[in-house]
Amino acid sequence: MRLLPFLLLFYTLGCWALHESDVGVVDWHKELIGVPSFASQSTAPRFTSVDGRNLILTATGNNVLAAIEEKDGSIAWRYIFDAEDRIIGFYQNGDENAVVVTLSGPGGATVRSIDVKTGEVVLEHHLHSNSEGLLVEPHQLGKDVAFDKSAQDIYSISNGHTVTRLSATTGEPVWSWASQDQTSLTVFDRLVSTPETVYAIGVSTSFASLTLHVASLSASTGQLIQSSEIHSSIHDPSTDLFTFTSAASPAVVWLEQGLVKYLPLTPDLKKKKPNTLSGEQFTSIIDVGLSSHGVLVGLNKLGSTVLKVDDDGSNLKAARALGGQDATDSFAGHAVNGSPHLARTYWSTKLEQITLELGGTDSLETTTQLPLSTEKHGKIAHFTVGVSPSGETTVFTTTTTGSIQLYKGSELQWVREEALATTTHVEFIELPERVATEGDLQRDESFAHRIGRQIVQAQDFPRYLVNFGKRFVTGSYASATSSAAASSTDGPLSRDTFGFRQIIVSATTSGVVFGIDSSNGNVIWKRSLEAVESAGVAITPIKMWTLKTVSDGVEPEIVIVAQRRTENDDSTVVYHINALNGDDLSREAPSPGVLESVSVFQGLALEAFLLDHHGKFVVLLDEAMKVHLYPNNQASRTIFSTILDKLSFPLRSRFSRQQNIKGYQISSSSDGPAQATAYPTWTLPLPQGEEIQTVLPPASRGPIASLGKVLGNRTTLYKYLNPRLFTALTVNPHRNLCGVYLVDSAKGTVVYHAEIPANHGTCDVKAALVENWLVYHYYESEFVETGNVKGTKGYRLVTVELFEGNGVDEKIQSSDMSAFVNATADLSAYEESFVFPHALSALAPTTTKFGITAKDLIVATKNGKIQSFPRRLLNPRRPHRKPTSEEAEEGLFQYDPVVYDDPKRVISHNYQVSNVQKIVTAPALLESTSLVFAFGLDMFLTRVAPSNTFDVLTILITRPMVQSKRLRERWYL
Amino acid sequence: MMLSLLTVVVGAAAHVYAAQFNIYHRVVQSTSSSVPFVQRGTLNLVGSNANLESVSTLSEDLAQLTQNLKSEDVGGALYQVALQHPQDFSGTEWAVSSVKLCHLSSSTAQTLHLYLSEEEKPYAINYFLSPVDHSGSCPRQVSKPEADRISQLNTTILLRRPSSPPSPELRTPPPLTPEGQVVQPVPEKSFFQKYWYYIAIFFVAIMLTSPPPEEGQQGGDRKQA
Repeated sequence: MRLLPFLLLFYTLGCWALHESDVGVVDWHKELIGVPSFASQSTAPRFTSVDGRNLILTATGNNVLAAIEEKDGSIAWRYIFDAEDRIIGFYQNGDENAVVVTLSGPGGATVRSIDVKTGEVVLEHHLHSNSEGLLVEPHQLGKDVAFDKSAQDIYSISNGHTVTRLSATTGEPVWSWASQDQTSLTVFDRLVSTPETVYAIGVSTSFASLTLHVASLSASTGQLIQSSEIHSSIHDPSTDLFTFTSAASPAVVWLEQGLVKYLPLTPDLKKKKPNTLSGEQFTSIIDVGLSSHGVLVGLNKLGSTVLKVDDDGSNLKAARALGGQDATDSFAGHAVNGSPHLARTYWSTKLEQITLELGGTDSLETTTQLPLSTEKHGKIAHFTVGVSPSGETTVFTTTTTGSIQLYKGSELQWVREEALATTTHVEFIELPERVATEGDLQRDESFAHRIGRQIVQAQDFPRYLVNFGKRFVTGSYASATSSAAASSTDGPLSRDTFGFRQIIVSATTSGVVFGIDSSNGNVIWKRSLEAVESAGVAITPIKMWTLKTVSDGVEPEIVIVAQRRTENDDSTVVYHINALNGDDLSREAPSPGVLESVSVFQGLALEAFLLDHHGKFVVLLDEAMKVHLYPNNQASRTIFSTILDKLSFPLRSRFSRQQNIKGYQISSSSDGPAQATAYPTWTLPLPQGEEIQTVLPPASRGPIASLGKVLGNRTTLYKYLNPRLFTALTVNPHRNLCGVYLVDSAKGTVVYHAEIPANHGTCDVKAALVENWLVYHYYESEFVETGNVKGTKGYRLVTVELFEGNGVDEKIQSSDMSAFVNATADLSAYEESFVFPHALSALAPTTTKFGITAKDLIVATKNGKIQSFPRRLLNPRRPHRKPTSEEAEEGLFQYDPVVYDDPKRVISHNYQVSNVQKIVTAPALLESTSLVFAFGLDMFLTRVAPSNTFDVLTILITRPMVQSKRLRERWYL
Repeated sequence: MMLSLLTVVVGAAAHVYAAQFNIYHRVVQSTSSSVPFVQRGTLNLVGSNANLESVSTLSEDLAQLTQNLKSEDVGGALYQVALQHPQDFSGTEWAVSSVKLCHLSSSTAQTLHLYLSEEEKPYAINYFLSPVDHSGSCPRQVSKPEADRISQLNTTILLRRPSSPPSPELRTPPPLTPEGQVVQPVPEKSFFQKYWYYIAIFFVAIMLTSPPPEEGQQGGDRKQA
């Protein structure tokens, strides 16, 4: 009996590791890149070719530069920039150059040269430190890159005033020139290079508008040749200013009050009067990637026109008309054998398809239909066209729903759903059981019908027979480590034996909702929110809940609360969706296309929460603190009126001097729940200078298996299980401190408040609260001496357990105690701190069906790993000496200050799970097993069994012990 | 002014901080509009000692606050206590805590939690009445609190300060020589090195205590010789 704790410890800490045979069976990993950024030519997708491989290069909204294989859409490589190193653009000296140059960071701080073939960084140079970078909006203003055509050297503008020539071989600066006016009055925004001269083109702030400013520099020395102010009036340089980078005839083009101005550039900048394109006025000009060929596209109410520079480079003229102008039109350019070609896509109402027109600058050549499902993928937001020497067109599209697709001619080659990289909310939805065939049985069934039904059923008999024989001979039943993916003959969507197959509903900021199969990561359904159809509308999901589950006897339903922002107003809307197929449930006869929202009220929601009391419904509060219900029916109103006086919730607010958290209750109204409003009941101001970073909502309260912890001496520590506790994370830059608060939302009682050192005035604390266990992670930037031992900088993991009263056997029944009882503040906190080996981007405890299984801590490290740490390791009551027999019986072992970086705790195998923002855990039908889903840029799902799979035959029986032993030994060789 | 009971709390402060803060109170109903606060007393904070001096008109003030309250509304009304912000007189930035007004009628004690910043200045409060039923529900017979009751409550003031999590208890580093090298521990002696004298004594003792050769045996030898 005394050996039992040691055995448990051995199994818990020693045996857990992911077996190679389980990789890809119990887990899956989806590498994503994000939705391409196409607002600027410097980040928009473009074709390139290296060593016979055709790739698509693109920068994305997730701060990634990626190369996608044209043949199958797989990721050839991706370079993930740090959050503070935002990508400004990527540049290539010719479409088939072996390197791509990137400019990134505040003010264009860093230049990198990346090998197009492998994605490896060839050279990197910091033009200035991040702290010296000027922050401007749009962030691409004042930064550009150009190339020296012969030496391949790199010219860059950073901070809007410094031009640097970097050697292509060493990455070191050859020369650097900074304008004398380094104030914000003149910002150089574009670079044009010729073999002898480099032109820095920008705008100067003048009295009424922005004026064009050009400086010519010697390409070899960087000396200023001439600096000139051009008489002009530019409204917005990011949209109205263009450069022709042709070495033979560099020029600058801009739009000035509807007129197109054209100015050829010479080193002495003698010509100061621009030519004006006569005849037509334009509302905007777009760069379609042909500026090196002297081609732009002008748009006005009448349509679109090709603008092309003369052969001698002296003037700009209007070439052919591209066609009618519609909001859904999109343009792209491509050079075929050095000849510029233009493409336009538009929605053909006649054919009800997307049509692609391709031609030269003077005539239309081909028309192709693209079989894009607009119902599923929305419209084309951007496309890039490539034409092979044989004349075959390749079109790479980015749709309004964040999907990227490749067409060869008119055939779709592949699709990638990159909107998944913008997921903000997920919900696990349990699937219904497989419908028994007998369900079709009808009492008054005719003989002929019965025979027919049985013939249909008989077609499954061979499969049943094979499976039966297999089970009988081999004894192989469903295993906790077998794949949960459905086979093609499984029929409608249904759960597997252990409930590992569920639907993950993912709400994204790209205006799309996905239903994902948790067994393999495949997208089952995808629905567009209305935002993608309406220009100027943005929908941001703020909350998502499961409204009904299969246990309610219906198909599972989810509800998404979102903010709908237009140019004129904001409103709070709700989407009500069938989780199995994405059908709209908010209307009797929903439209088959996009999901239509239900407008709840004008303005933004201050708070929204799900009430689960004899039925689930959503409570929303508008800016006037008025209560709104969804669904707003008689049943929800009745339930709400019975419990509204028991509801309370916290909100953060800011006054002129200090921030505070206010607690609210809901007042009953004689006019019914429709007129109910919330009113403040408590205010918790923070100390002077302290700011709230995050308010984490109360942890979803799963089943609690035990109310206390029985100690080795047969006494009990009762868990402090206040269900109203929420976590607030704060920062105090003046005192260089971070705060961690646990507060009772009904009374404002602070039950735990810890101050930890900030890292140069910033806090990146990750925290999770489940039951009575709070765990948080931060960076310790100060030396703290303990006795004779000097402290150390590094990451810390603090684990806190709250127990009732001041010691053992003190019981106050905190789980159902009113917040107004004085004893709610009567608790003791056991806490311990550990040195942690990694920076974390997310953490979450595991969740199981009945809460009996021990809870592991799942963390996502910033080096792309998902790791699991047993709770026993993080027990704050671990003794700082050899444990006594009573402590050992309890399972405690001696405290060690370091949580070792044990590779066996990595549950993500050798996947690089990048930029994880959140970890969500969900129970399976097996009590022992929890599903772990990490998302951010990538998506990763696996199963963990913190206490091993005690409720099925263990892996030790099914796997040879010798094999397991050898594997265990190899970890530590 | 009347002195309520003083209670103390937490250990000695590093320096003695003395200040006075105004405590206000009011009675609010969920349906009524905002009611102004009325001063309830002064909180004197000297180091780790705190006391609450109530205003002399406390009972009358409470009677005034509950004057317009109907008996059936007492169950839903809240009694709020606020700590005045030193630079704010409007009440928008004050720390506020609420209890149910119905509990005031049956309470015998009040507890004030005072949250202190690093400078020992209170920035928030939390107010409790006791005894209160475990469920927090109002008594069956709800009535307006007697005006005198509030001044008869035993007062406990608890000072709350933020804590810091314990630092990881690192192992003591090995001692270093002046040259920065780790001091090599003296190599442990072998068993023989440690106990050779015991062994030697043991053998000597054996030799000394070994019996002399028997006489008969010696004689026999001689005979043979």
